[in-house]
Amino acid sequence: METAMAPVPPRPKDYKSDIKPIWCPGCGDFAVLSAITKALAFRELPREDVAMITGIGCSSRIAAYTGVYGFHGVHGRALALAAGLKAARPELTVLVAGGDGDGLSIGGNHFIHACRRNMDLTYVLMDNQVYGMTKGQASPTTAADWTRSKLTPHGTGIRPFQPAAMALTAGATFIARGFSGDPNGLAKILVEAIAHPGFSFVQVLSPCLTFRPEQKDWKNAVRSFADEETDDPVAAAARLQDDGALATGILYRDPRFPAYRSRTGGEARVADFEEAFAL
Amino acid sequence: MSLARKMTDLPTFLAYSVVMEEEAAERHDELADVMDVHNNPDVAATFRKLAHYSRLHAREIREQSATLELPKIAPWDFEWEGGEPPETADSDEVHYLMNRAQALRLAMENEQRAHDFYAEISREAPNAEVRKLAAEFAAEEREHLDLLIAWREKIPESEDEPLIDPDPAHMPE
Amino acid sequence: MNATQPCDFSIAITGSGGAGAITAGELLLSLAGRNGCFGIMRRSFGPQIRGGEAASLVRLAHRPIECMNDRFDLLLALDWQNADRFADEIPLHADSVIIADPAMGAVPAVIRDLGTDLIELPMKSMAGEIEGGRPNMIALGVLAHWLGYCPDQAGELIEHTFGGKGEAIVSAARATFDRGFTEPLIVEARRARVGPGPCDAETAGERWDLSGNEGCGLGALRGGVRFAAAYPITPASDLLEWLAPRLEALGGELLQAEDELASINMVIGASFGGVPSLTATSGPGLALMTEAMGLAVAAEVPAVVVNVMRGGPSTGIPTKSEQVDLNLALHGLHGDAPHLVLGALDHADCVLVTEWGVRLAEALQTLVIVLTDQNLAQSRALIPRPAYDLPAIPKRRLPDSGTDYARYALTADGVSPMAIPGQAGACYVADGLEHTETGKPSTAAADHAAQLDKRRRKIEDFDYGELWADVRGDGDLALLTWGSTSTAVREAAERLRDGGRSVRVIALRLLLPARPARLAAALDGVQRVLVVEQSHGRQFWHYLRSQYTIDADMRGLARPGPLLITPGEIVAAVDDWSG
Repeated sequence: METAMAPVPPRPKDYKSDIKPIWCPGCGDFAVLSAITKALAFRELPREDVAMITGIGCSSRIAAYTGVYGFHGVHGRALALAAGLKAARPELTVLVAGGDGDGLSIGGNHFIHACRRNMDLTYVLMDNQVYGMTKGQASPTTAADWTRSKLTPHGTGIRPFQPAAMALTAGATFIARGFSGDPNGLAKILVEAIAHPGFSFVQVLSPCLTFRPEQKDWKNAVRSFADEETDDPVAAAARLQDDGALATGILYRDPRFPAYRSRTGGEARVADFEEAFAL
Repeated sequence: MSLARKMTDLPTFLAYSVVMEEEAAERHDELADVMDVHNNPDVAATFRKLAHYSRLHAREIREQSATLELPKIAPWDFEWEGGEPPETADSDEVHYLMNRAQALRLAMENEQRAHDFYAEISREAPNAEVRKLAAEFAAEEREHLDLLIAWREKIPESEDEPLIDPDPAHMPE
Repeated sequence: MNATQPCDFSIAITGSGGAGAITAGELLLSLAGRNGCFGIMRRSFGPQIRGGEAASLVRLAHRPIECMNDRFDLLLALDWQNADRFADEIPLHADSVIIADPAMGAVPAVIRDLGTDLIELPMKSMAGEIEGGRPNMIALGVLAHWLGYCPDQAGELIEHTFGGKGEAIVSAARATFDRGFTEPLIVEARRARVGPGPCDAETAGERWDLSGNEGCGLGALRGGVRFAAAYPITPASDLLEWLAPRLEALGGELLQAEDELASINMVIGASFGGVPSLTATSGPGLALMTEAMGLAVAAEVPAVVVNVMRGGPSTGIPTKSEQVDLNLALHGLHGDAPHLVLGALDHADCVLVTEWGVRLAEALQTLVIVLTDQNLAQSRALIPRPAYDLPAIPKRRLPDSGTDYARYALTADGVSPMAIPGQAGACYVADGLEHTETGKPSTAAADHAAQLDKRRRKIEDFDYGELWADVRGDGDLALLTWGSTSTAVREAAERLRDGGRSVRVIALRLLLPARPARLAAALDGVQRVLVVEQSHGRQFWHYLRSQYTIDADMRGLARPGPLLITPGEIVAAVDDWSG
């Protein structure tokens, strides 16, 4: 007697491509890839309905390693590519990924406008506080006194950005921080981020063992948010000023601001506009 | 309450076990891939073999659970100590220049933790069936550990070889 | 009956500080349209946001015209504030008439010295006699009389234009118009001169009133664009503003970007999603877009950028026209990045070339830059209804379902099937990195060569048909040009033909890829080529020299903006060469 086969739920592996990552062994981005695939599998999203948009840098290579639609664009502009795609195809699940240099230096302007525009995108910023792909320069999140870069041998002397605080000020309605050393925790954050109807910013502390070997210590310093998440931006701002930048969890979520909604469903025809020119 | 004491029924225990083995297999495969890409075929082969063992064990467990309905637990709802299954390699310790001895040391640490995980359950779980099966799994992990020890004895490389590459880093993009 | 001749009359209306010179010009053009004329209207402004000096420059004719004439026949000055700013742009001739308000001061010497007739008309006080009356409506009445227009048409137009502001405004405007129309001074002055006769709506046929920017917008929609990204820049902003509500009405969308870097990337993202997409900008914005335009080429994503050229370099002269972004459009992309560059020749061509560009981008999965200029974009023209036939151009090639999908598969024509997100079994990653046929990044020589060949082949081998250029006339002298300068060139050619000299006019629409065989055929029998362009650096000249082999003797007439090259200048250059 035949019994109906229940559909097999997708597994994280289904969301990986068959291209082997070029990341160094021990790179935190492996865990980010794993977390993303776990989140997509958990939500059972068809692969063809997901797009991963990235910029340039080690972490931006992630597009090639996921088996969904992807765009490996130019440095710093992934959020703009994603905004166009989402506006044209609002039904797709659009993920954006990149590093701290791609996202906060050359991509800085697009970052703050993406937060403000509040389109339903999920932006994963893999933060290793260095430019890895170009061999170890300081990034906007590098501490002022890091002296290991030949470009800035005395350290930059400039205070680093706080990405989560920037996102809050710029208007992101979901702000979270994850750690590659806790891929399951990150997967959970990503599930919430993807579900959130607006711009979700997920900063992931993701060590670069090649250029910042001291980041191995992050696993000892990272802690999860003792308090619950908040929807009060003032409270979130105060917390972000004080959290030592190594606290993980969902920091802020406010569903009250409506997500940018593509206007669709017009019924006009081009011929209607042509008549307006006629004398 | 320790995780062992929460293993109140067979399906829950099997759910944990299967995920542990499958995640170990995936992690070992990931390491094998990265060693392939970084031109360390010996270590790649080592991790590949370890992945194979984990997959075998996972399949055995799945076969044993065929008649049971395992609970669906989200990846982050597993209450592993430290957030990750005990058998999954700590990826801090890997390096593209690592030798087989170092790879095996990593694997042995994982197997030891897996063994200890099952052993604790075999003692502390409130369910007798669970304790019995956990004891079997612990024994199996013990066998794996012995295999790895024997394997390591055959390898001439030293675990203490320093991981130094005189070539500078390179910029692909 | 006033003495008349076929209408070809050029009028300038100047004024400042809210005098309404621009409104008067716009109404005049509309009135002309209702009276069966063809025409063209440009505007010129001082730098102030409001209250600055302004001029409407209008040419009206009995037959289709596409450019301004060499000189103006009538200058109506509501006042003389900063008018010397316009002196260059409003050249008069010995028979020109100036109508000016004596209350506004003496006619500036530079204008008076041309030996023209002056009619003094106290327009401000005339308007002041009517409750709510404004001097520019006096001016409109005056001009309507001068042109022999039917006053009832004006009544309808005034109702249409001011109806929304209430009955009082409408009647004030009507009364003021009538006052100007019937002013005895004007009636007398007109009778004493030979002037333009009214046009005939019947023979004029179906006409449109559109600006170049609107034409490009329409062409985009006809081509299937349903997404636009927008960052404002003079003189392209109104193209985007025209598109915004209409895209929405069609079920599409316009997204305002934070800068041009964002807008071009948004276009590429939306196009990757399967929707034909476009943005519009000018020189400074195009320069910012060059990196991402290269991405569209390398990743083979259709993208259209309408670049409305203005005075350069750098911030340049934003409100004036030049043909000086050709170099950037042709060569601005880093790497070997074959793509398309098209140029619109006139107002109707703005529709044609933009539609053509969009369809080509979709068919060839590449970047298309459509060049227009401020001259076309921001002038309004009364033209025969645009009617053109585009050759059949295929839509985006989609993959068959099933089996191994290779996004960048090497095909005979170089165009690979392009999967759209949502299609199962065809997930791929578009990449600016060089790649294999499946899209996997690659540094291999064979892959780079294969992909470069493919990206060039798909563009070079495509049959663009007859639209590559507009070729007219015969003779052993050819006038070779592109963009809106074509309008002046064509008129110059008409004058030369009327004078018994036959010339060939070749105006290129397809600038990249170059079609040397076609140009050679078009130049068959030609001994002399005069290259005409609005560029100090002779960008078109150098382009021709690098892409084509031209056996004939070549000379160039190259001038920068802001003053447009006139038909008279071109005729003079030809005469000069013939000697």
